[in-house]
Parts: sequence; structure tokens; C-alpha cells
Amino acid sequence: MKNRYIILTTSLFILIYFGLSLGNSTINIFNMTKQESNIILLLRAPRVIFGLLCGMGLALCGSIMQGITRNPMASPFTLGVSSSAAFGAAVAIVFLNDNPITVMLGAFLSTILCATIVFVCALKKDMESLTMIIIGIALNYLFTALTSTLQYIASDDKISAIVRWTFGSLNGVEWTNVWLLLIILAPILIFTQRKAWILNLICNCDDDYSLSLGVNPSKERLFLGFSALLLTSVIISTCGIIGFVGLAAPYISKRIVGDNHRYLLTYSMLVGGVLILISDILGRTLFSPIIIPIGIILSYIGVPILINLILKRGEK
Amino acid sequence: MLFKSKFLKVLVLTTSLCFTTTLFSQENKTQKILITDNVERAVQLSVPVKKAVVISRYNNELIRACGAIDNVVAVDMNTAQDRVYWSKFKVEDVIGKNQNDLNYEKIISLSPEVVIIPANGAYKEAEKKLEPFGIKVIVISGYDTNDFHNQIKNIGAIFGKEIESKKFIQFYEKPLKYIEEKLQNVEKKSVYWEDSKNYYTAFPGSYYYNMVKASGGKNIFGELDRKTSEAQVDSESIIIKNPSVIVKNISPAQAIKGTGVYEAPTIDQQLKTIEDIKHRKGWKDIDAVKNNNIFLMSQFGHGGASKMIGAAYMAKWIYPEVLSDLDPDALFKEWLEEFQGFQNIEGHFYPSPNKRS
Repeated sequence: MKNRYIILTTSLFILIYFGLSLGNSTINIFNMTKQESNIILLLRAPRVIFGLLCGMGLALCGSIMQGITRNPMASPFTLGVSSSAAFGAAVAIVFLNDNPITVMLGAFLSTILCATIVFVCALKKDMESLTMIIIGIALNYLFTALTSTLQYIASDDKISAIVRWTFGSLNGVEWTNVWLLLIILAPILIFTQRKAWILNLICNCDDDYSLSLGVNPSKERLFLGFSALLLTSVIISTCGIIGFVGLAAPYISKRIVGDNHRYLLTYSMLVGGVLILISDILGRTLFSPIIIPIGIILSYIGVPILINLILKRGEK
Repeated sequence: MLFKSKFLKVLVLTTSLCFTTTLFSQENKTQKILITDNVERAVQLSVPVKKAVVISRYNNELIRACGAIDNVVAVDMNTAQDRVYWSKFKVEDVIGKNQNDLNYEKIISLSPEVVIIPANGAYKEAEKKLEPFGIKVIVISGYDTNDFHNQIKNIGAIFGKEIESKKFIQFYEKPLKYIEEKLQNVEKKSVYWEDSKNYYTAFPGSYYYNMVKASGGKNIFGELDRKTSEAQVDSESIIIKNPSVIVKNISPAQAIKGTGVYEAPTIDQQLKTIEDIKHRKGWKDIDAVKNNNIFLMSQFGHGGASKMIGAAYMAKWIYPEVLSDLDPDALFKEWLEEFQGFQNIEGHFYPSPNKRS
């Protein structure tokens, strides 16, 4: 187990190094001119670190959602939460202003609304996996349609801002976004890691069994789900919709470290960080100086993984 | 006495300071100005600007019309894709795909004094990212006909091309004034303008709508006070409104979707587009179809001189007899040859008003 962590952490550091070094021009980060150091400090470093935290955060959200719903296909994207966050952000942009706090609040409130609809509907069907995913997909369409509808009543400059949400991009990330995400991510990680055994319980046992052990699964689901929604909305309101990480990272991690959330949560986060960093580096360098939005690259990587996931489920 | 001596000292000091500043300014021929850009931001900058990064083909055309294109060091991919019209700019030196996907590292590596970007781009983000590197961000939206005069004056002031910008404003105003005067007491004809995407049209407030208005045509969707600038409309509503004239934008197959290039659409593409319009279900009874009043403008051609060229062609197509002295082909030629330094090219407007009459 230790070796698996060491390999992935080392890969992550190598990717951070490449992320900082590669771009429009290659910069030797150990010997920089003043301009190069400004480029690293003001442009590349916030982008790379936010990308890393964003990947970690989305992967953590995916693991939590899969755990509390006992559904390996649950993720911020498949449950419609990402699209709803983008819709909330778009509403804030069109009707209020593009102040980051307002946008974040709009995204968060919208995720709460989406999650409530998913959970209420799913509860009526005893939290069936299939029901949850179908409702999630339906809501995904609904919120995407709502966001598109907003484009009919928005001015040209606001339309372009909304469209940017739908692709997902790290281009506008600043240090303030990094600190904010770190402040939200760190306590949620500590909180969920401490709840890892409860996640194992919820995921693998009946609720009655959990209750017999003194654990209230409904209450735990609520707290854990709320944490995941908060984290998702902070990420999406900064960089737009970035799909598949929340689905793919826990899936890959389960294959390597198993179902135990004690390891799964942190390992998923590392995988999520790796996925985002690889995608961002490719997006910035493949057709440089043109930058391909990270959402597009991730979709290329994520879709085969999703198809593989569906096929493997079919085999079972 | 003491007061007098102090006053003299201050006077001498102030005079020397003013002299030094003037001398310094004259030597470097620079001065600080304050402009109000297209989104009403006050931007202070040293002019004339020698190195600028300019995003959007419309903006680059306006800057070239003011004689300042040599001061532009890089453009976006949507501009540079036209390897004939923008051969000065290399594709490998573009600063991103368009106004919303900017490569800030690339911009910084070019050390421009200013970045000029349209209002529908990420100008707020660009300002935050580029300000620490001493690069000013100015919003100029070449497509915004409502703010044409202010924007051209700004271009003149930014690049020290005030005389050229005045000449360009005159070129822009003359035909539009002529159209307005001649059509004052003329009954307006109904027009359906269509984007390169089928059934997409413009509503009040959009720049395309303004172009139709400037041409003297009565937009069949003019009464709709829509918030959106452009949207898809129902074919039925076009049939009911029965326009006298139909004008459609087209893009050559090789252009990035919705953008224009110097090379004109082929005659086959134009004929096919007109045939397709004629054969739309239920359209055979529309007056414009019956009278063969279907006209095409390329995405490249119509946008010339902030859509003045498009408005002139439309006006001539709609009112050929009334506007007998209006020669859009000559205007387009002047625009290309005088203001863009390019050879005139046919095929961007079909059929040509001169050949038609």
C-alpha cells in the first residue's frame, strides 16, 4: 500500500514540476529571470496548484458521493450537481453581478437545490442506484437547458462569460482562488477522513446495522453530502464544469487500493490531481500558443474510462 | 519680501519642471492620455503605442483602416486563420483562439504596451492577469456600430493616427448619410436578415439589427423587443410576415464557423444557398422569393468598415432606383484598396447590385 502512495505522490511532484516548467516557453524553475519568475508566480503556479487542488477536491467529492449513495457511478457530474453549479453561477452573472462571492453563492445554492431533488426522488425508490443516475442525468439536461436559456436574456459579454463556464478552464485562476479552495478543502478532507469508517459502514451495510452500532446513517449522509456539495460549488464557481474526475478518480483508485475509504479517499484525491495536471499540461502545450480548455481534454480521457466502467459493470 | 522671494523660487522651479517635462515628451514624442473605452472604462496610457496585441478581426481591420497595423505585433487565431488577408501575422504567434481563450504567457513574451480586446471577451480576466506586467487592457469592439465614432477616435489617439482616423470616419459617414437623406420620405420595404446559421436572425439592440436599420430596411422582427441579440425563429413566422427582401450571411467552407476570410464563397455555394432558400417548405409564396429578391453577403464582406459596407449593399439591394448614386461595389473597393491595402475581390456580395441592374 505504501509503495502505491509513494509512486503516485512522486508522479504528482513530477507533474507539478512539468506544470511549472512547461507552457508557452520552457522555464528552468531553478534559474529564472525576473520576468520568468513573475510568469511562474503570477500565472503558472496558481494555475498548477489550483488544478491540483481542484482535481483532489472533485475526486474527494466523487468518493463521498459514491460512498453515501452506494453507487459507483455517482459523481458531481453524473448527479447533475456540476451543471446545477454552473447554472447557479450563470444566474448570479446575469441577474446580480460577476462578483466572485455572489457567483460562488449562486453555485452553492443551486447545488443544494439539485442535490435535494436527487435525494428526495431517490429516497422514494429506496436509493436505487439506477434511479439516482437517471435522475442525475435528467437534471444534468435540465440545468444545461436552463443555462442555455439564460443566454437568450443576457447581453453579449455576459453570454461569453456563461459559455466559458460550460467548458471548464483554469485560465482565470488567481492566488485568491487557490487559498479559498485550500481553506475549504483541508477541513473537509480531515472531516471525511475521520468519517472513513462510517463511509465504509454506510457503503457496505444496511442502515439498520449502522443504527445498531450507534451510527445514524441519515445524519452522516447529510453532513458528508453537504461537504461534497460545498466543495463542488467552490470549484465549479471558479473554473466552470470539469467532468469525469469525480467519477474516474474513485473508480481507478478502487482498482488499486480497494473499497476501504481509509485509503480510497486520499488515493482518489491523488489520482484526481494527476488527471487534472496531465490534462492541463496537455491543454497548454499540445497546440501552444492556443490553449485547449481542460474540460475538453478531460472528456477525451474520461469518456473511455466511463465506457470501460459501464462495460465492466455489465460483465458483473 | 520673503513671500516674493519664495514665489519667485516656486515659479522658477515650476517653469523648469514644465520645460523639462515638455522636452522629455518631445524627445520621446510620448504623452499620457485618458480614454473612455467601449465598456466605459477610463484608461490612462502613454501614446503613441508602438506595440499592441489586438484580438478580433473587426478590431484589426479598423486599426488597419487607421493606418496603424504596423504597430500590431500579434493577433488571435480567428484573425490569423485568414492567411491571405492577415499574412503579416504568423499562426504560430497567435495569442489564443479568440477573445475568450487568451494565452497570457504568450502575450507577456511579446511585451506589448496594450492589449485591445472586444467587449464580448475576457477583458476583466485579462486586466487582472496583465496589469502586474505593465500591460494595459483596452476594450474596443469593432462590431459595435453604436460606439463607432468614439472607438475610431480612440484608435487614432492610441496610435497617434488622428488624421487617418478622421479620414476613416468621413468614409464611414458619407454613404450612411446619403442613404438616410434619400430614404426620408420613402416607404420602407420589409426585410428578413438571416445569419449564416439557417433561421437565425437579429433583434433590436443587436449590431446586425443596426446594419439592417442603417440600410433603411424594415426588419420583419423589429417589433420584437427581445433581450437576446440573435436567436432562431420559426419558419412559419417568416412566411406570415412575408418579407419583400431576404438577405443572408454566408461563410466559405474553409473559414472557422461564423467567421470571415478574404477568399469569397464560391459561386456554386452561393447559388446553392439561394436555391435552398427558395425551396424551403412554404417559402415559394413569400414576395422576396417570388420576385427573386434574395441576396447574399459574406461574413467577411458585410463587416467591412464596422458593417457600413453591409448596410450600403443592403440599401442598394432594397432600394436600387432611389439610391441611384450609391455604388456599394465602389465603396467595397475603396475599403479594400484604400483602407486595407488589398486588391479588390469580387464574390463577397451576390448578386452584385451593379450587375443586377
